[in-house]
This record gives sequence, structure tokens and C-alpha cells, in this order.
Amino acid sequence: MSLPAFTARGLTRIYRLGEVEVAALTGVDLDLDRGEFVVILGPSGSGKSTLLNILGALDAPTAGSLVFQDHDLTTADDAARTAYRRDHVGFVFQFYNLLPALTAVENVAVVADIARAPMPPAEALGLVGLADRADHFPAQLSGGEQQRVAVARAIVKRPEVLLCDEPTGALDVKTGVIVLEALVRVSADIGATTVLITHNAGIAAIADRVLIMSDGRIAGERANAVRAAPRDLHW
Amino acid sequence: MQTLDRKVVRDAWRLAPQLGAVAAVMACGVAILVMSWSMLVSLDATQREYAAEARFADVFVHLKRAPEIVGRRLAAVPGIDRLETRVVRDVTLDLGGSADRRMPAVGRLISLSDEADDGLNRLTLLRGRLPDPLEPAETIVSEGFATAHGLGPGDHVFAVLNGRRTRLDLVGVATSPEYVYTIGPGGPFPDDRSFGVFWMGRRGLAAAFDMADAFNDVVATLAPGASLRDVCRALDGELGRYGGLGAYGREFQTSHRYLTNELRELRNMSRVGPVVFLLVTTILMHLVVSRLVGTQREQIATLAAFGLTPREIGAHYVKLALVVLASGAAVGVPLGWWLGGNLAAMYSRFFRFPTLAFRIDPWAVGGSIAVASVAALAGVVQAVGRAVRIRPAAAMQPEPPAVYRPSLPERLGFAGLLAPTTRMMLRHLERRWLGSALSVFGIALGVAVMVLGMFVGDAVQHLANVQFTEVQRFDRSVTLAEPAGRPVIPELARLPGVVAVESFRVVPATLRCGSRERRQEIMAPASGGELFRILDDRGRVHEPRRDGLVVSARLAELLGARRGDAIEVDVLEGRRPRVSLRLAGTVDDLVGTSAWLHADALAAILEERHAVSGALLAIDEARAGELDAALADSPRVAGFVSRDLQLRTFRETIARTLLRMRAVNTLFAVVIACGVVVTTARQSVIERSRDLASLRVLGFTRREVAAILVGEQAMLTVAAVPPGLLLGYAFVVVTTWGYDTDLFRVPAVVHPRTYAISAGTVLAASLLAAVMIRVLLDRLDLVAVLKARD
Repeated sequence: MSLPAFTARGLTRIYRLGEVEVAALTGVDLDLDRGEFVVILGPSGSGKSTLLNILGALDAPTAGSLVFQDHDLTTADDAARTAYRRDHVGFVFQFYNLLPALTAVENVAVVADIARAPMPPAEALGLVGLADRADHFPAQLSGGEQQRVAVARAIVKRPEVLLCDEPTGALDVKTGVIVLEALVRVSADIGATTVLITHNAGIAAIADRVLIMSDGRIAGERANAVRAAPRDLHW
Repeated sequence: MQTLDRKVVRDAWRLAPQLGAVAAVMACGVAILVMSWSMLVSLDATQREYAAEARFADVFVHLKRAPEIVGRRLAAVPGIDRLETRVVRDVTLDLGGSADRRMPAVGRLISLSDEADDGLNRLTLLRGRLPDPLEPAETIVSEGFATAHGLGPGDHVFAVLNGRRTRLDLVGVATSPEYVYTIGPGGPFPDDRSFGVFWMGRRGLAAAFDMADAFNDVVATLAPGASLRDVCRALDGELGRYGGLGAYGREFQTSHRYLTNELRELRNMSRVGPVVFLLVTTILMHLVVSRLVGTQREQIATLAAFGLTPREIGAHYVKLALVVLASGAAVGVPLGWWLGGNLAAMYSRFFRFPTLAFRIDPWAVGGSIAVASVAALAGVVQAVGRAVRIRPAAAMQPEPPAVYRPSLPERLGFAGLLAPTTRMMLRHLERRWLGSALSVFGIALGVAVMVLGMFVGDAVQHLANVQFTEVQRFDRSVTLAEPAGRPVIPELARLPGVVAVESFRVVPATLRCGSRERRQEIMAPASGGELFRILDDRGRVHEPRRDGLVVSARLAELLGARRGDAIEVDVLEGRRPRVSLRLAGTVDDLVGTSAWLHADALAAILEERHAVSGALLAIDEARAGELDAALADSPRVAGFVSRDLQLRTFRETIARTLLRMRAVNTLFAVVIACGVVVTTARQSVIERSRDLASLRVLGFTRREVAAILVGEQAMLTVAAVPPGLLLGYAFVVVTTWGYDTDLFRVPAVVHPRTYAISAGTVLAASLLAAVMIRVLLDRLDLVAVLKARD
């Protein structure tokens, strides 16, 4: 059996806000398999965003260890963390975070340019069904289209890890479904380990595995015997 | 403090670096205004008060010699309030030192009337006492000369009076309204080392020069309402037969003219400089506050939703401008005060008033703050307008993504050549074209102020080079006590160390064209001479003509004469012939005003066979001391000037002063350049933090992300440098108009090095900004930025 994509032990993250200490994560143990699609559910303040940020090396744990394949992310310095993101991770944000000065295809190309073995940007856009909108600027796209461009941008480098922070949070149901379909399809196509965080329990059915977070720890876990198709979701 | 005002304080604190940069630029503008306006008021008041207090004369006339009885007739001329006759003579001084190192210097001896403490042009004693009328050797020395040579009461100097080496015992040091600015016969720059004024008892001086019961100089004040022109005409009528050189008013009195000129230059300075600084203040204020309103769109909408009126919202942003104004004024006013004190100290080295105190003028302070307020408020007016138009509903919707389009190079078909990050930069700069244009303009102004600040040094260097190496190529200029015949030339040639001698003839005259007239010496250099040349501002050599006068272009302008016009010439020497000469040519020269005529033509007018007024000498420097001693001892020599000494004094006084002023200007220019560059850089970091954080999350390194902003900054800077240099040259040209006086013209000469340094400084400021961008980006909190909606 191959190595897990991520192995986390005792992950703890404490924020110091003046005199007060806030524990966002309190000893999370986690193994994620390669190619696995995981949805993390939890209310606001449960620590899911913190966990995602640490998995993406945007933040570092206060204690505990995190290993991605054979990279120890716990001790990585800034340069190593940047290299990790550059080579292995694709991000999808709640508010898209497209560069407004670049067209759809250029937003994808800007990442392809620094990746080691990217797919052609046009192909990535094709995977999310936006081949015909390639030359539009973000201001000329709907919210759903912008988020699909963000998905294309995330997968163009064929990342081993796809991290999605509330990707449907800013979208209506119909548009959200289209985005999730794109995400599920392309993550399967490229075999990426996908972590999607949301407080929308209705989305959980599309995952291989669902983790439920509460008070900075993993409070529950379940596996879906059969993954639902996004078009069958209701929320 | 209202709660909303706390937001002003916190916004100001958050934007402290940008607002600080704006305030720094504003402070420079305020400082220049406070300094120049207050200095103007101080100098003007000092000049007027001193003239009134010391009873500075209104009319002056020098003549050859007249019996004292004529003086009494002159005093009765209608329109004259009070008139004094004097004996005034230039002599060579012997300041001691070994024979081979005697410093050539000229002293002007002026007789004091017996009631010296009640006369015209009254002396202000700084040290010592007035001479005892019964002690002919007792002398008062002018302050500048005393300071330059470390002289004071109890010391003595030797002067050659009518061929006799005479000891002058110094009993006092004084200033006179007539010699506030002391220019010797060598002109046009003050030289306290080689020219001094000495006042002594009338009897002793008259005896030494055979002027008992006679005089050769007149000063007078006018009765209220008297016509200067009529009085001058009457005096000239009386004194013509006594060799009168033409009466003139205060307006043409050398010291007074220089002082008036300086006031004009100050006025000039108080206009150009601050305008630039305050314009930059407006631009920067606009850049900062308009962006702030952009980022606080939802906050403003929320405030509007809670019922704040547009006036309250507008006032909120106006208060930010007031914070900058308060900081700028708090720094600018004391800075102006301090600079003014320094300027006054500098002036007091050239302008010898009894006291020249820098008085800060409340009107100047109030006025400069008023002007600065206009600049600050003009900067926020557009942004405030935008803020008050934001509707409450905007709080409920996220701001749509900014609208971009392909940039001009892409539309022209060069898209393929540009990397996505380069496209980002170009599209961003183009989308915010007004901000980009203002940034470019601001940086260009920084470059321009730098060029302007440094140009003064270039121009003076050029002026000195032209004057001291191209025009005056002699080593010594000797003036004879009386015009002499040609045999004086071989006499001078036989003096030790003389290598070449060229004579010149110069006569005082009045030139008249239509209703305008002007006292002007006519100079006839030796024909074919090499030691003196007539040069124009482009370095072209002109020759004196036989068929008419060649004059300074400035003189032609003052006379309203054009080439070919007839100029009436009254020669004020010898037979005093009156002739009409054609204006044969004009020369755009740099110093003073001159009129030249071929030596043969002048000799013909004077009906003399080549008389000589003086000579220019080229010498063997090794024997300079010997020669100077011989010249000083010669009874035929009224005075002589060493070009090297003039040049050295020039370098040590004027040039050093200008360099100091240049340093201040340069510092100001650096403030502008850094202010603009730093503000635009910080603004772009704030504005683009979300984009850049996205790139960082996507795997871009710090260096790659910084390169985008630094690239934008570099594009702005590179775009600003060429127009900045051009604008700098334009400022230079406009400034030279202000210096275009009959004393000297400042040429619009800018050394290539000045351009290079100006551009280099701004590029260096950009580098600093690049480092700052990098530091700011390193501090960027990726998670926080991405979580924020904008």
C-alpha cells in the first residue's frame, strides 16, 4: 500500500491575541490517502479553516507534526513552504481571488508558468467548461464562472493536493452545483487528494470521507459507501 | 472627541508613512514660503529703516575737481534738501607681508565731514570711535574689509596716497548705507579681501590729494516732492565744467541696486519653489485619500445607512487633510524659521547692515498655512466628492471585480511578447491611468526640482568660467590715476614679471536714445588684443567696431535701441564732446552692461592720440609679489586687480554660499522624490495586497511577487525621468528670466552631470521604495488578506 498523502499527529494551533490565547486546533490526528476526496464539516470557529491553512502551508502549527508524502511541513521554512505550494498544491477560495487584471486564461496561465509539468491553460479551462470564456476578464464573468476559473487555475499544475475553502459559499445552489461538478470531475481526472471545507452539510455526500470538526478537534468521521453526484445534492 | 474622529486618528495612524511623506513635502513648501516671505519682509524693512536712520542720500555725483564755493551753489539748487561735498579717492593698499607675497588690494578713501555723526550716509560704528578731526591719519574701516583681514581699532594699514606711502591708523569699524553691498572696481562680485572702504577726516585727505577747499564727490537728499530728474539735470549743468560724471539717483547706486536685485530674486524664489512643493502635496494627497475612499466603500455605505449625512461623511475625509496640514505646518514653520535664520546669517556676510535680524512675519506664517490648506484640500476634493455619492445600498453588495482590459501594447499586437505578470502591470497602470499619470508627474517634479536646485551651481560655475577665463584672460588689470600717453605701456612692460601689456581706454559717458538715457562707460580695448575678449552667452567672440557702438543686449534693451539706431553720446571726460554713434551691434553677454568702441574711433572722438586709461597684464606668476609691490608703489597707478584673487574670493564666498543653498535645494528635491515614490509604492502594496497574496498562495515566491510591484514602480519612474529632466530645464529657463537684470544674467546652462545626478537620485529613491515594497510584502498576512473581501 502506498504512503498516505498527509500524516498529521497532535496538530495544535494557538493564536495569541494580546493577553488571551485562543486554541484553534487542539491535537488533531489525521491521515489522508492519495486521491481521496475529503469534506470537512463544522460550524464557524471549529478550526476547519485553520486546519486547511496548515495543510496548505499558509500557516504553521504551534505543536504537533505534519508530513506531506516525504516532506515534513512542520519544520519547513518560508522558502520550502512556498516551494511546496508551488509544486504540489492547488487552492480554491470562497471569494475566487482571481487577478482582475488578467483574463480567464491568463489567470490560469500565471500559475502554469511557474509549474513543473502543467497542462495547457486552455485545457484546464476546458475541463471546467469555460473554453469559450477564455479571453474574458473577471469583471465580465458571473460568480460561478469566476469560481470555475479558480478551479481551473488550481488544477492546471496537476497538483497532488487540492484545497478548497468554502468554494460554493458565495454562490447560489445551481451555480454551486456546477462548480462542484467541475471540482469532482477534475480532481478525479488528475488524481489529486482533495480537501474541501464547508459548513454546508448537504455537500458532504460527494466525499469519500467526511470529517466533522468541533472545538478544534475532529469530533466525528464517516465514510460514504457511495459518493453522490453533485447534481443530486440539495441544500 | 466623537467616535468617528477616532476613526480619523486610526486611519491617519495606519496611513502614517504615506501621510507622513505628504506632510514632509508640504513642510518643505511651507518652510520655503515662511523663509522667503519673512526674509523678504526682514530685508525690505532693514533696508528702509537703515536708509532712513542713516540718512542715505538720494542723489550722487562724482566729478574731477571743483572749488568748494561751487558746493554752496549746488546746495541752493531747487529740490535739494541737504547736500554734502566730499573727497573720494581709490588708492592701492599695502597690507604688509613679505615683498613677494603682497596682496593687491584697493581702498576707497572717503572724507568725513566734521559733523560726521549728523551728516548724510551716516556711519554706524560697530567698534571703536570716530576719527579726531585734528588727527589726519585716524581712519575708520568698513566692516567687511576689517573682518576679512582681522583688522580692528589699534591696527593700521598702509596706502599709497598720491605716490606717498601713508599710514592709516584704524580707530573704528563701521557700516555705511552706501556700502551695504561692497563691490570693488573689479566687480561684479563682492570681494572683501581686495576692496575696502576707509573714512577719514576731510582735511588730511584733501591735503594728500591737493584738494584743499575743493571736492570731487557730492551726495544729497531731495526735498519732499522734488523731481530727481530736474535735480540731476541742474547738478549736471553746474558740474559739467568741473568734470562731472553725471548725477544719478539711489536707483543706480551700486549697493542699493544689488540689494534691490536680491529682494527681487527672493520674491522670485518665494513663487516658483513653493508652487512645486504644494502641487506635489495636492497630487500625493489625492493619491492617498482617493484610494482610502475606494477601500472604505462599504464602511462609508454602512455609515450612510446609519443616517450620517453626506456633509458628515465628507468632513470625515477632509479631517485627514487637516491632519496632514497640521503636521506639515508644525514642521514647516519652525523649519522655515530655522532656514530663515541661516539665510540671514548668510546674507549678513554679503550685506553689511548694522544688524540684519531675521524676523518671522506672522503674515508669512498665516499666508503659507493658508496656501498649504488650499493645496491639501484640493488634494481631497475629488475623493470626498466620491465618498458622499456612495449610496447606503452599496454596503449590502460586494464590490464587483475591477474592470480591466488589454493594455495599449497588447492592443497594438504585442501581447505575445508579454508575460502574464507584465500584462498585469501594464493593465493595472493603464486602468488607474489618472493615478499613474499623477505619480509620473509627481516623480517628474522631483527630478525637475533637483535639476533646478543643482542648476544654480552650474550656472555660477559657467558664469565664473566665462568671466574669469574666457573674458578676462589677463592676470592683473591696472587702472591709472589719470589717462596717460602711450609711453606708459613700455613703462609697465618693464615692471618685474610682466610678460605682455595691452592698454585700454575707458571714458564715462551718458548714452541717450529717444527719451531714455543711461550712464555708461565706453570701453575701447586694445585692437587685436588677446587679454580681454568680448564674448556672448554662446562663447562667440565679438570685436569692437569703428563704425559704431557694440553694446550689451541688455543695455540696448534698457535704451530701447535697435541695431542701426542713432545713440547720442555725451562723453563726461576731457573736452566732453557730444557725438551721435550708430548702434552697430549687440552682444548677449552675462555680466553688467557694457559699451565697446574701436580704440581708433574713440581716440578720434576724444581728439587725442591714443591715450591710455589702464592696462591689462599677463605676468610670470613667480614674480607676482614683486610686481604687485611695484604697482602698489607707483604713483601713476590708482589701483589694480588680480584675477586669481578675484576668482579665489569668488570660489570661497559666492560659490560656497551657493553650494550650501544647493545642498538645501537638493535635500528638498530628495524629499519630493522620496515622498512621491514612497507614497505610490505603499499605495500600490495596499491596493494590490489581495492579488499579491493570491499569487503567494498559488506558489509565487516573495521575490516574484515583489517583482510585480517593483516593476510597476520602475515603469513609473522610468517614464517620469525624461519629462522630469525636460521640466527641470523649463524651470531653469523660467528662473533665469527672474535673474535677468542689468547686474548679471544667469545663463540657462545645465551641466550633463546635473541631469545625471537628478535622474540618479530619483532612481535611488525608487530603489529605496523597492526595498520598502519587499519589506511590506514580507509582512503580508496571507490568510488575513484572503479572508477579507477587499
